[in-house]
Amino acid sequence: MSVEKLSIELKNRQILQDISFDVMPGEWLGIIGPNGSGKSTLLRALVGFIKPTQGVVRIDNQSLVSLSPLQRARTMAYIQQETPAMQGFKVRSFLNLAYHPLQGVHDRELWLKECERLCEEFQLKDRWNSSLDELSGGERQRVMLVQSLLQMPKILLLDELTNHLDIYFQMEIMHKLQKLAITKITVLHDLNLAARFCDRILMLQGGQIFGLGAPNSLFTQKIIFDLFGVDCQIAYQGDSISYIRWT
Amino acid sequence: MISLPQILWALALLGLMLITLKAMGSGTSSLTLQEIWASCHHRWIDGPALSLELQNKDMILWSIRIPRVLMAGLSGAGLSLVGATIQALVRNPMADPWLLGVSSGASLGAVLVIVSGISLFGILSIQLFAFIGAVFAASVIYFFARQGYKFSSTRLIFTGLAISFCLEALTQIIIFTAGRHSQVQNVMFWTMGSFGSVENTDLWIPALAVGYGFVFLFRSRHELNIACLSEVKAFSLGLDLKRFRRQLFLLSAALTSVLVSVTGSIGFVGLMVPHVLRLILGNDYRLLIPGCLIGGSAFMIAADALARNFFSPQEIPIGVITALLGSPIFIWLMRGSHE
Repeated sequence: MSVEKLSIELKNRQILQDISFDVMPGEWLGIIGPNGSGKSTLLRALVGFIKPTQGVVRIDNQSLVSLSPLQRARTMAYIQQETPAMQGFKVRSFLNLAYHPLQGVHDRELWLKECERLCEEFQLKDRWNSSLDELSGGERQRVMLVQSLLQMPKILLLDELTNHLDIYFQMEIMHKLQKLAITKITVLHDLNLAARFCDRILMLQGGQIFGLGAPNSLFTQKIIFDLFGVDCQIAYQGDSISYIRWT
Repeated sequence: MISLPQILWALALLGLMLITLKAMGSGTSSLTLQEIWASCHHRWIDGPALSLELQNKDMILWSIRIPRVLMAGLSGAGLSLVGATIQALVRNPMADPWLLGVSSGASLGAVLVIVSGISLFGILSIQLFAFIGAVFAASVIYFFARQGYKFSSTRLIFTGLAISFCLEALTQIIIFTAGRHSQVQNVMFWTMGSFGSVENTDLWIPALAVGYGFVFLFRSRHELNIACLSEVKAFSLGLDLKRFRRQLFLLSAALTSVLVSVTGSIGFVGLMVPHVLRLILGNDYRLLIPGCLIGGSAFMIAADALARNFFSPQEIPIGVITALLGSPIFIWLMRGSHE
């Protein structure tokens, strides 16, 4: 995926300005920044939901706007910050929605097998017939993730997926995402998770790129203070960051 | 191997058939099942000649009772389907054709063309003007209830109520000022609905409209489910929401206007039937769409039979029955609403 000079203006307000970066296949890019810096808007623009005022998003050298809605859905899956209200909807019916973009191009039997495998892997098998509103926050997030993976996307866009998860499932899901060979672009609030799992970090401030690079080069006391206005201590283990502690 | 859901659907269809037969037999002149069978046997398989009494009943059955019951079934199914559709369209389970002004807009359009005697496209002019009225009313409400990408539930319901009352008042003014010799039947018909004047020839257009609507919605059942998610999620699942909503909007307006132009405006069915079905079947449109077809028909046929028989020979307008059953459910739903 490549993003060239992307600018977005909503209701006469400049939300994003002159954003350019590339994401390599299989890479995990973490987007971080203070509240209101344009992280979620950038993710929505990458999925094509918000049309850029200027600039272009390309996937495999093809402009995003030239893809049909179904082609786009087969290329990218998106998980939003808040889980959609789907009361009275069974987990299996909800997961089944992911087959919509694959109809006619992907074998249904194979897809069902993959669905079963993922439910097992994410410990959702015994929740198969449960209603979505009976699930805990963590279970719902896992259902969202499994549904997105069932779209068989090349790129996964996640907006603060670990929000409702306890520490066990946060680590569990981040490890599982790490094993996936697909490209991942995630908005994260937790810098420790970002430092540990992301290949590169994109820092946003006031709708502009503040920094782009590997976590160990970008996460310094000075940069973090300049970005968030908070002092921190960073512990290293060899070349990589062991933890970031707020002071 | 027959599965449990298949058995339940078969039982629901059987229930609908029984209600239909019972409704065909009930009324001022009642017919037993044997008499209905004798009449069918006589007509279809050239069975034994009918007695004089049975000849009268045969005439009542085929020229009054059957068209009326079939129209009630079509109307119940159609309005329930429209209700479920509009609920997906605006992502609000409290929406229904009357509340969104579609029914009152269609009534106004139909009354206007009857009173003025305009005749565009011959027999279709009433339906056409009812459709224009429905689209106009729904567009106004749609416009006022929208806030950017989202719909405000409160605004939607209150704007819908205000526009519906306003259009009904306009319809009544037209009827009152039209004079006695007007073809407009009465205020009660257009505001409360009735199946009393339905004839066999009235059935074709509603049957085609409900049939098309059902096939379209059943084929779009997955898209309807996706449309209930957030806009960005629906978008990321590959649904062209703007185009799909436009299709649903036109289908709802067309179906309601066809039904309203034949039976008048019948309230609450589109709200109540999908809601009761949601409690039983859940919110999955794969089940709701066939559920609305069977449940909506069964409910309206039963309500019409009740309207005919409760104070027989006096007939209660069908809208009174649906409102009596629908209002408490609506209040109950409002209580459960978060907004």
